[in-house]
Amino acid sequence: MKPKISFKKHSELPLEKDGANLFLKVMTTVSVFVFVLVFAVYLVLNGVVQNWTVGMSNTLTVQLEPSERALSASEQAQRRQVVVDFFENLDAVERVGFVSEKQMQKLMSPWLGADADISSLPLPELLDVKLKSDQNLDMEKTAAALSEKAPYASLDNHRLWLERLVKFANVLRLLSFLMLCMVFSVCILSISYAVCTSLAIHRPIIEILHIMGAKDSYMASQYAHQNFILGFCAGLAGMLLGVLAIKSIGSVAAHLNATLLGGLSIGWKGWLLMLTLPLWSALLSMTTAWINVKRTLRKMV
Amino acid sequence: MPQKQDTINDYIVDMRHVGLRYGNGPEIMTDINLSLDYGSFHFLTGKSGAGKTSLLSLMYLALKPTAGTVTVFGKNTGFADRDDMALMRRRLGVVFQDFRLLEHLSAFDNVAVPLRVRGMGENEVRRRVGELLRWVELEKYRDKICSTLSGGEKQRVAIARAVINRPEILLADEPTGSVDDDIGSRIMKLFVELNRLGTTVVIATHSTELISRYNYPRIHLENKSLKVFPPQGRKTDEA
Ligand SMILES: Nc1ncnc2c1ncn2[C@@H]1O[C@H](COP(=O)(O)OP(=O)(O)O)[C@@H](O)[C@H]1O
Ligand SMILES: [Mg+2]
Repeated sequence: MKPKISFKKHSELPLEKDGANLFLKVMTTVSVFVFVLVFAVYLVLNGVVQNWTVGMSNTLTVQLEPSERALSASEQAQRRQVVVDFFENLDAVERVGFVSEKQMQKLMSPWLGADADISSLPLPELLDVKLKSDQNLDMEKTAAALSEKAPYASLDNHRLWLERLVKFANVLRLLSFLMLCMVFSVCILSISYAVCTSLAIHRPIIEILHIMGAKDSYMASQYAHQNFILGFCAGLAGMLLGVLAIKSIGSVAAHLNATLLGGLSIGWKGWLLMLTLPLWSALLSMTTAWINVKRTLRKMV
Repeated sequence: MPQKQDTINDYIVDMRHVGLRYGNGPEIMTDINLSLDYGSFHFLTGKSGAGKTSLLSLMYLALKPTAGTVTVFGKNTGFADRDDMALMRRRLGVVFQDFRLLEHLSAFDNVAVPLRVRGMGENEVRRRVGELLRWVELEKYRDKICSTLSGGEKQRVAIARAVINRPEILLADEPTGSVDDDIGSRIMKLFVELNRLGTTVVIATHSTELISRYNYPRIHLENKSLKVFPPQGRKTDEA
């Protein structure tokens, strides 16, 4: 007894000999390969943006540079008050407070030793600004406004720098997402075009099948079957090549600078999604083929 | 507006005021009226280019009339959707003038097409096709690719494909054109037998000899119109 369901389905249409098959195989392999790479970039950026966003606590530090000449106590107080007023007038700010001399001592102790006298050093004064958690502060604008009011005060640039990086990463993330969409559309268009060409080539066979009583779905299922297998095999090849490429980029980069790359990761969910890509590519080419056959045949007598 | 004729019709094929043209060309048939009874047997004659193939195409729903209505199995073909047409075609058997086999497939796979398109299981397909191939003495060509068969062998494959499904109507376009006389009469015997079992048969032919040998009415196409002549041959059970 032969098994009822076999991998090689009976088919009147010689689809495995279609001229467009090689093109479709290469195209799908390359697409899935590119998809894997861009998707990896996307996932890494996602992780990076998240890390950095979490890293930005909702406090920021303002430095008041020590003046060149000696200042009187009232002048000193005046300098401070300008900066405090500036921040207290911002909506996003909850609380403003100077870092006390004791805290400064503690901060500096790793460098200067526990019992150094810091009052004699020309250290900047530090102001802690606590932000309301539900409000966003535009760092760039704030920094510009501050330097106008008090040129001797500066926002801590670590946060500013991070914020710029996050903005940049977000643009990259959007770009990689657009690229994923483009790869996706190119795949669908190529498969559609190949299916329409193939239908035109096999038109005489299809006409005979129609007259023998075949419904459109009979032809469509032969195309769907063929394209499922093609999509799966090409998807598998593309996925393996892509994963191999990521792994080798990763290992080369790890030699360069392990600490920098510590935060870059795709995550197990990302890897899982990549491993299922052949299935998605198979389903995509199957569905595209099915829809296009039905759509094209409806226009045929 | 044509009247919707979806109701029961006394004829298996009923053509009313049918006109047909290809594209923007001239009408090749004008105001054709033809009614075929269930279980009837007709020859179809006419010069080459008279429209025999076109008339049969209207019956097997490959063409739609450009004027009038064609009703098959009581259904107006003008109102049938694509899946309806597929279901109607499964009740028809067609032998094309040029065979129109699937040349890249074996004789077996060609004869199996009408069964497979209706989703019949492979075991049943193998049983029925094997049986019929034995009957038309094509068993040894079973796995031969059709493009390697001779004209006469192809014609027998085409006929086997047309009858495998026990059709209610058999439409044959010059089915004895390229076979030897003895195979020709075997094929005719098969058609007569099917007709006895209830199949309606229409055979397009050039052969006056064939017509005179059987006692069946004749549809004659000439000058874009059609005439039906009463039987003029010898008795049908002569062979
Ligand atoms: N596909 C077609 N396109 C245009 N004209 C056609 C087509 N098929 C047949 N004709 C024309 O229709 C007429 C009838 O052809 P056909 O039905 O094949 O006649 P027969 O089968 O009696 O030889 C002929 O004049 C032929 O040229
Ligand atoms: Mg003809």
